[in-house]
Amino acid sequence: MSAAMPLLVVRDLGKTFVRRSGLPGFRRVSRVEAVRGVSFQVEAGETLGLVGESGSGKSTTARLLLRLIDPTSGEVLLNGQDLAALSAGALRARRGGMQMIFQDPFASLNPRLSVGYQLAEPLVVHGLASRAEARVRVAGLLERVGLNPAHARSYPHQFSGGQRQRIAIARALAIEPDLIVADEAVSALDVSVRAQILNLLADIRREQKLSMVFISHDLGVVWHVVDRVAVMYRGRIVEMGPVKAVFEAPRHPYTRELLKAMPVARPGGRRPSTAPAPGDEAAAGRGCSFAARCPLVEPGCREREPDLVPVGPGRTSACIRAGDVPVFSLGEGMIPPASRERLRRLQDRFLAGRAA
Amino acid sequence: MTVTRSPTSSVAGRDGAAVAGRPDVLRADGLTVEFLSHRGPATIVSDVSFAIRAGETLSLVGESGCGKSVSVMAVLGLLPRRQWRITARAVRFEGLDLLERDGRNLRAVRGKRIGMIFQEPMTSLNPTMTVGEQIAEVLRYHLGLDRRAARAGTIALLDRVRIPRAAERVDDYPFAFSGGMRQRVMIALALACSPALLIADEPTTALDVTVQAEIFALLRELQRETGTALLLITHDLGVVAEMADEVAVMYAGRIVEHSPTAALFVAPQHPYTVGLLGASPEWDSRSHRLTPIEGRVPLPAEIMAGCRFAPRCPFRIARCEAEAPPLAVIDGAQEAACWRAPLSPEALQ
Repeated sequence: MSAAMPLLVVRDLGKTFVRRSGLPGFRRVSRVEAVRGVSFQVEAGETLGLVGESGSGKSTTARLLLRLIDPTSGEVLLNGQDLAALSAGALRARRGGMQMIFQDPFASLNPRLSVGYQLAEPLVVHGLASRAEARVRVAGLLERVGLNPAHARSYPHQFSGGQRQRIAIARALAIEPDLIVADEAVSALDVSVRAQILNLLADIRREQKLSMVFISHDLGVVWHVVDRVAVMYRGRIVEMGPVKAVFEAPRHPYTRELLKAMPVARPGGRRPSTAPAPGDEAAAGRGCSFAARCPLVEPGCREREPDLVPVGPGRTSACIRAGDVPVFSLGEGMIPPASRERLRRLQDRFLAGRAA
Repeated sequence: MTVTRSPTSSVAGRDGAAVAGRPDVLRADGLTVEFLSHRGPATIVSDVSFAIRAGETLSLVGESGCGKSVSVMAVLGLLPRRQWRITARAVRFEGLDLLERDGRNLRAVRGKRIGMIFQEPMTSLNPTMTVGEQIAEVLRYHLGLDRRAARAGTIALLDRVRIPRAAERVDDYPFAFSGGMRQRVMIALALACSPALLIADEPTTALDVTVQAEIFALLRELQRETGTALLLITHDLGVVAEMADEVAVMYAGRIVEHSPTAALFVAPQHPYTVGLLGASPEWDSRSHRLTPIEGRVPLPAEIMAGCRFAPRCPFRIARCEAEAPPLAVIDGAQEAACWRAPLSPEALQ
């Protein structure tokens, strides 16, 4: 661990959405605490995963990081500088340090501008290149993400979903940011194409020492991409730590339920769930917000909300029974060893044959 | 291991009418679907055959554009005839010919003997009617129930799909339900007339995994109780593993592999299936490198003579580019459309 300041420091971040409805005189105000007390750090070159179900506050956190929306509380420090304290102009200049890749490459590219123009624009806006220099840089960027430089003259509709996501990645890389925030960046892609994009992201990360906050609901994808993972539930981080440790021996019952619920591509599929589904739980008052669904719930859980506290090397959990969460393993017994060996060797041949 | 190749070999052709005494509920034989554009017809589905028996689940799996949804829409007569041309040797549902021109047979079974569940439960429900009215409408139209009986039946159905406090929620509008609960309403609608076949097209893709697990548990339970056959369309091999008895893998409009579900995961026989399994990230796999399938699915206009997977296939040989391999029995009940099947790592060195 270096003594230097981490690239990204998030402290006690909170966002409350206020909704006003009804006619004058009969106004109702409802508040939704989308994100509460979220704190984490991302070191240079590190990838942090944010996982959780819809409504857990993952995407709101992403938007707060980039200050696309203003936080209700807390601070976001990029290279030691508080983004929330910056003026609009200074913020625009600093945003170059951070770029975002969105889920839907159909919605995030401008259909009326050529790909080359869209990639050159951030370079010119941030004063990093003249128009002529930008053209050369764009060609290099397209090659970097596995596209033909001649594609610069094409328009987004001429590309497939996977190619569009490559363009979105190229655009995020254009101004050489320190940090990329990827919000469900591969969720809309087909399996075979998704693997291409995940490998591309892995290569870029390794070669450019880029930091990433990778948001996904798909734990399989997260396992392959991130170094550390933060599990969010109802706006809070409930567990955080190195992804291998967290997935192999979860310290929060919610993490374990999420892992159990993942569909698995092998005979038998996923394990049956024991926890009640979300939806009908009453709005949590005091106590742990997961208590209503928790298989390990005990009276103490309903008294006060547990803090996120250290539970092991580099690991934190917000559960008073963190030590009692059983290990969860998919096991390997379902495929006979000989078949597994054949499959592994076929996949090796598949890769080798492709390279040839 | 025996390899027999017959030109008519197909999923349905494997064993005539009945396996283990169960009759086929639905059988499509040689289904071909063309989209008629101003540039001429484009073949979206070619020569696809499948059969589903009572109480069993068949999954059509493949990536976007492989023709899995179009095949089913064609069988159900949901594709406008002005834009689509559908041909087949036969499409039979409980003995009825569904391709018959005036569509009378189709109208008689759709929504009654065949229930349907789609991906997006918000857009498939009418937002201006209570869920109770929508289900009662089906009961009154198809089963001829009166208002009171239909309401009682509706509450019983909502109860059956485990919607809490069904008698109160029957008067709620769709927006008052969560995504998972809405999908339960859709299942109640589909089951309203005790169908012999339930068709589910990506029924849980829009839902969180924990909710997805619940919906599948419910579907399995209902299937056990009623003996309904289930045709499940999905892109997710994990869903296939959990739900299906048999699986047909589709690629660019053709079935490339068809087998009992366990065999597909234990011993895949088509290179595309091998690639798909390697490209699916699983959290407990040891390797941190995925095996992507290079390139992309051919567009209908780009389809050439040989095997449609050949341009992306690391195992291709000269024959693959010249001649399309038919779906042929590889091992027992397992079929693959590949000249190099059965795949063995040694032979591919």
